[in-house]
Amino acid sequence: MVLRFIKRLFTRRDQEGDHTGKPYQSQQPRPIQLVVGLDFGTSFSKIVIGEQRIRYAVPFSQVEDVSSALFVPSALCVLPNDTCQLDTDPQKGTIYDNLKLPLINRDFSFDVQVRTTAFVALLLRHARTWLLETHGTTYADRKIEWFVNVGLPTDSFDDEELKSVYMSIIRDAWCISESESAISMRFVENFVRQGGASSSSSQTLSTNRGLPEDRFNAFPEFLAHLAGYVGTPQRREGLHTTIDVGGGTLDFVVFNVVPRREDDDFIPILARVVEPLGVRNLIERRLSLTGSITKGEYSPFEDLPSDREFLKRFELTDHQMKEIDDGFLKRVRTVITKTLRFTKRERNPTAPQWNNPREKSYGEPIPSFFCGGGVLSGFYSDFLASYSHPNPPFRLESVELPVPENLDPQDMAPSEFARLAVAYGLAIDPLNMIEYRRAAEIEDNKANISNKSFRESFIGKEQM
Amino acid sequence: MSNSTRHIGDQVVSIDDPGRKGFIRQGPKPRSDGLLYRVKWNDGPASWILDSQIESLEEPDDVYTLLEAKRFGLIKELRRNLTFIQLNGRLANVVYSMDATNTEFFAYQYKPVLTFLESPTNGILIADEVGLGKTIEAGLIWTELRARYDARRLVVVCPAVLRDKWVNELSTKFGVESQALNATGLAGELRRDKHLIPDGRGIVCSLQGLRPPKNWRETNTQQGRAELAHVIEEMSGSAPAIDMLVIDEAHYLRNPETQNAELGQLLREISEHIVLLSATPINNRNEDLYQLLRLVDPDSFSDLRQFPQVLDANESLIRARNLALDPNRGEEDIKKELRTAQNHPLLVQNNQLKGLLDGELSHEYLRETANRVSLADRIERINLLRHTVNRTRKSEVQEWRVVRDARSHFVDLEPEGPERRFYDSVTAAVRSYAIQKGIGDGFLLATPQRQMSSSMYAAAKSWKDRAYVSESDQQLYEDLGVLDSPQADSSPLLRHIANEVLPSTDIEALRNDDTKFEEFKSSVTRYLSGHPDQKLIVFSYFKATLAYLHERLSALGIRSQVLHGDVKENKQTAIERFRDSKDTSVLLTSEVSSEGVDLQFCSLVVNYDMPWNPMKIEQRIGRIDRIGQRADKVLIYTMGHNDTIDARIYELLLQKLDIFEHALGGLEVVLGERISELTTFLMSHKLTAKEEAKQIEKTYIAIANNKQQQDELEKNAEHLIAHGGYILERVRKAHKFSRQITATDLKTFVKDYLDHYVKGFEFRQDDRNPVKVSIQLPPALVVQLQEYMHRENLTTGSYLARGERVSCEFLNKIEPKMPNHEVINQFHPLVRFISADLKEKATAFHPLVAAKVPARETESLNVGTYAFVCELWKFKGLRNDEFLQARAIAVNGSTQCLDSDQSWSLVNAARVEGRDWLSVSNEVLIEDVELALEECELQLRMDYDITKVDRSNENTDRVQFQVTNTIQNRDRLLNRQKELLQHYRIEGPQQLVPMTQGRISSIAKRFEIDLEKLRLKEDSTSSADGVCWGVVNVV
Repeated sequence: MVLRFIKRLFTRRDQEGDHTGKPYQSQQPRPIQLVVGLDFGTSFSKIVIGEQRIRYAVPFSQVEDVSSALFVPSALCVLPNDTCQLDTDPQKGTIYDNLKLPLINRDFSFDVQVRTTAFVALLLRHARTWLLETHGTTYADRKIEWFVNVGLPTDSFDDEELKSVYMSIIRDAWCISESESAISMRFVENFVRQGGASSSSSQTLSTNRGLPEDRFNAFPEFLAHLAGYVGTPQRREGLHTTIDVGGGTLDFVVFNVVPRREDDDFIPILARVVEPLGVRNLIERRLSLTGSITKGEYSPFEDLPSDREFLKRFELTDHQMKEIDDGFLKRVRTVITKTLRFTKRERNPTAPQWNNPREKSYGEPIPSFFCGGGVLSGFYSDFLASYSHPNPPFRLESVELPVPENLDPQDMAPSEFARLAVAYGLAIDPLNMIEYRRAAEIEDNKANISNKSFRESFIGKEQM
Repeated sequence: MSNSTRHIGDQVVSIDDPGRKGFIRQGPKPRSDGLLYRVKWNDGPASWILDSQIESLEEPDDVYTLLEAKRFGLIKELRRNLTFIQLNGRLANVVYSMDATNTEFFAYQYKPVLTFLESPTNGILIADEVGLGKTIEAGLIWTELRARYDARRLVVVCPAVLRDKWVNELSTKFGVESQALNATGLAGELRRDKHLIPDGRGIVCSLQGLRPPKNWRETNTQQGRAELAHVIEEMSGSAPAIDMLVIDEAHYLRNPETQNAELGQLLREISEHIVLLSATPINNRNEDLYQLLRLVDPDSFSDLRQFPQVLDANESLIRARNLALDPNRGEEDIKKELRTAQNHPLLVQNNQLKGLLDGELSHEYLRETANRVSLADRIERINLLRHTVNRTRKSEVQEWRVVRDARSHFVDLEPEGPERRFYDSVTAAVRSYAIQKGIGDGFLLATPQRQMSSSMYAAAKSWKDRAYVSESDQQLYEDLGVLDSPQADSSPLLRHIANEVLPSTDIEALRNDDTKFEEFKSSVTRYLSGHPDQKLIVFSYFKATLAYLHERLSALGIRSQVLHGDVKENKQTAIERFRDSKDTSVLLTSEVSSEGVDLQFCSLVVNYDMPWNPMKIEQRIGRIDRIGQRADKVLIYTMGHNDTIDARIYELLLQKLDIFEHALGGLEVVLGERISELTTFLMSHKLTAKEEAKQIEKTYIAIANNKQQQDELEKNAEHLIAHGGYILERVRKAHKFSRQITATDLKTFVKDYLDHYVKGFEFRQDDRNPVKVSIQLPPALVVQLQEYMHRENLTTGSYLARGERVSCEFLNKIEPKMPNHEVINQFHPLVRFISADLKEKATAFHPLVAAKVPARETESLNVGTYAFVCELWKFKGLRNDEFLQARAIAVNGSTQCLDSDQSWSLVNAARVEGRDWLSVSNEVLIEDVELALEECELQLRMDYDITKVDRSNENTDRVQFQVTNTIQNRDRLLNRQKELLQHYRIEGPQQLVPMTQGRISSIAKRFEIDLEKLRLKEDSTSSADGVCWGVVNVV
């Protein structure tokens, strides 16, 4: 021990005398990437900040129920003094909700952009402040390199103009979030009017320290969702689907997980459909068809009531609600079944998951991820359960994402994590996001995307 | 190590997660935050990473260099590191069987496991009181042996009635599939190479079925039990053919003159390890204990004449130990007693004792209770019986809380009524028959009397139907619960009674006016209406009574199940059927259920008839008053008739002995003799009620005296046998501090290995259960696994080794095999293969870690920062052991380390509940941590040095003791053979001369080898290696 002590003493002295090439003597703070994964939802938004070792789910309020604090209503509150804040209380100021859908529906008006920018800026500022206040010590000796990854519904992601507007909102929001003063509508309006973060005029804003453009990246939401699956031991190969039921849309994607080539993940999308069949659509339909109930009695930022609670609250019978839901259910079923039928017919007819009643062969169910706010609704989970029946034309099997070990806070329930999964999946270095191929880039009925089972690869003796 | 020019293929390590290593696959790629490289990580897919976040992988650094560079690993490194050591090593302070079997955890049941592991003689006598689960303790020892060594062949020898129970328990509780074999079967099995036996199989044999016939050596019979004896004797010079031998109810081997004892000696010769189970190892003399210890450790207990000396030598040690534990006694008192011990010839050369006497026992040292306990343990280690006997009494077991509530239900016989007349006539007929024929066999005479006491109607009906004619010894066992029935036939007596009494008996009147049944009916219906979900057990020693009760209960709408020796169904299956049945609430059973079965799901026992032998009553009650009984109170109803011999025995003997409410000690044989004498007297003399009472009282006094003597002996036994409190404490700590392998540990262990070293595997986790995984191994690994299994003779099938996709569950439990489902526990071939392969690869883990732990998870540690060091100590000698040791210290300039237990508590809390402490570099002063770690190392060095000296002394003492005994044993055996040789030479048969000469030569050779082995082990070697260094933030 004494010898080691002397040795270390000498080693230290040597190192003090010579800084070049010595491994642990760097005087510069070492950079660390912190990636903000922003899931901007129709009703609720979520943020996860990730680095190589850990991903922090950012809480937005200090409530006892930690997991509910991780979801912030996607609404902007403008106080009478023009200051913006994250709130849904109409007593405090003017509330702007429904921020995302206009954008998705290609409403790029100035007002839409300003409100969205202000809202995202508030989110980003909150997230950054929270991290530095809570975990500042961890990064005290590091140079933080920020990245922001956002998700978009699959259709919107392929819309270059929409994506461009969306990304410029995010960049502007980042710039504004770095300002030291409170965020006001006027400030945001000016900033956007002057061309935002990409304009040279933005440099004149005292707030802007800006970030290079390559720090902002967008990904399809389903891909972000999958990032938490493909790298885990749960991963399977072959056909999969995601049913992302948000506030305003139902996003259904059929894709393949194909064997890794050189350890790269590769996801060809075979079919997708986005329809206005989200939770809010369902609730609105229920409310409007019950007649006597006005639309205002349900706030989109309330926790989604269970079907049982809904019945009780609006004094409906099971039968009445079933009648109301039937039409909606039919539409959801049609969308899903048509998409699967299309995939079977045009995209990947040889996948082992397809049923072939004529040959009395029934494939394995297709692993399906059910995510978004809809996971809390009995309607959608019942719907998905109806697809687990062994004998419908297609079988879907709901797969629950494993709660990752590197998520802070720990011990989250899988159903809660399902709502957070997109933000979690986005919080990784953009270069490490799974590689995917758009549906349009995949030719129909390609052999290279078929998934013959091991057994099928053999020639049985009866064939010889 | 920062370096801007990297090349494809360069080995790198992540700076922030230094346990993560990989190689450059692509790059550099410029981006606004710097240059990036794509790295293929050893434990997962490739990813892009900043150049400044990786450094070149060079030779492993000294941990202090890593500390200076702040290269703290994540908590997973600590988990991987410790799991690897636990699975790979054979750690003495890890109990591998803990929570790995399908048994409930009771600390005391692991006491014999640890004692056994420490035993240099590979044997133990478990002498726990009835009902504490000796079977489970033996099963745990076997599980432990399987985890540590390549143990394959388990042989259990037990009374025939317990055979099914053993087969069942080994399978359900320990995952050991067993077969019941007779002598020929066992002989055939022993001839097979044990390495060809599938891993985890057992053999269960009955004692009666194996014991060699008298004079078997002189006969050349190559059949059955004689054949087995010859086979065993032939094998006795070779490597042990049995890995572990369990002898249940080992007191049947106490008498050295019996064939049972001879069987024990024969089997011991070919058994590597032995476990004897007996609640009554001492009958009425210390020699009983000696005879069993001789089986456990033939080398140490080879001479009966030396045994009193051993006991004598222990006396002073016991006193010294007690003084060490007495806070009012100091160094002088303790050393005085130790010096007395040292004067004993057997301990005069004892190095451990010398070490204790030479060392200082300062006032400060003795002020700490922990030090006193440790000192007591060091003294106990010198105790020559410590490693050979484990004795747990119910009174010592904290888990034992059940109260016995005994109630008598004796009814009056109507004077001159049909029952009274019948009773008196039968009693008179038996007595006159005994006097006429001059019969003095109590059991024989008691048979009709007891049958009548059981149920007058059932007895009369059975005699009328001449059911006794075909009945054999089995009936006597059923009736009286005697294992070895006397060679007597009760049918002539019964015929005599049938002729004498039945003509004048109105059998139907006995049924219609059955006062005892009426009392039984009202008690049972009352109980069942108050406890509708409960079940109860009704014991009767007479099959006809059971049938009668079954019929009458059915008529009342109460469903019952009958169990006795003639029921074809396996006893265990029948009991499980009763337990699981929703409709059947009464089990009507003979004595077959009074031994070796667990009925603790019931809390009422009804003695429909009353055995006169208190031990039989104890056995009946013991079925429900045992570990696992959930009720706070168990009820015991005893039925009978007033003013009968039964009633007098109940009042004057059984009640006075308080046997219903308090468990008996080991009085079995004494009681048997006394009751037999009493029975004979009562049945063979014409006695008035007063005379009967007088005789019973006499017996009571005799038994009470015996009981007192027995209590004395018990007290002595406690002195003779080590206390084991220290061991029990170690068990509790091992359990509390999670010193066992969890399912998650196993999963991480396997997954880590596959990630690091295997390509093309499938490892698909279940959606809902994280330890359920579908696994398919690639062909290359399948071949390696197959080769490993072949090399190690692991014949237990694994579908993984066939390359199939298998649904697996990581579960550190031994589960019976199920189709399409494989449990991966510490014994699974894949886990064993990975352990061996990692050892061969000399896998190095990142040694420096940082963790955060909530204060509530630690052993009452204050909030703050602690540093710890873990070391792996290896000791080789008579026993080869490894210990994982830790020391921790507060990082605040403190120079006082936490004690070993607290240190372990901290390390385990970090391993099990810890989270990564990412801000460690900015929250601690590296110089402080460095000093703290050095302090821990220093303390560990001191701990190691002390342990090393103790171990070395203990080793030398044990080796010397064994060398002396081995030489004595050799000489004894050789002399015996030489005498035989002389005998054969003079008196023949001459053909046995060369065989005996061969045996002499073989014995001499074997002992020569044994002695050489012992001498080699006299020089113990040891080593201590650092395993893990870390800082823990307790928050």
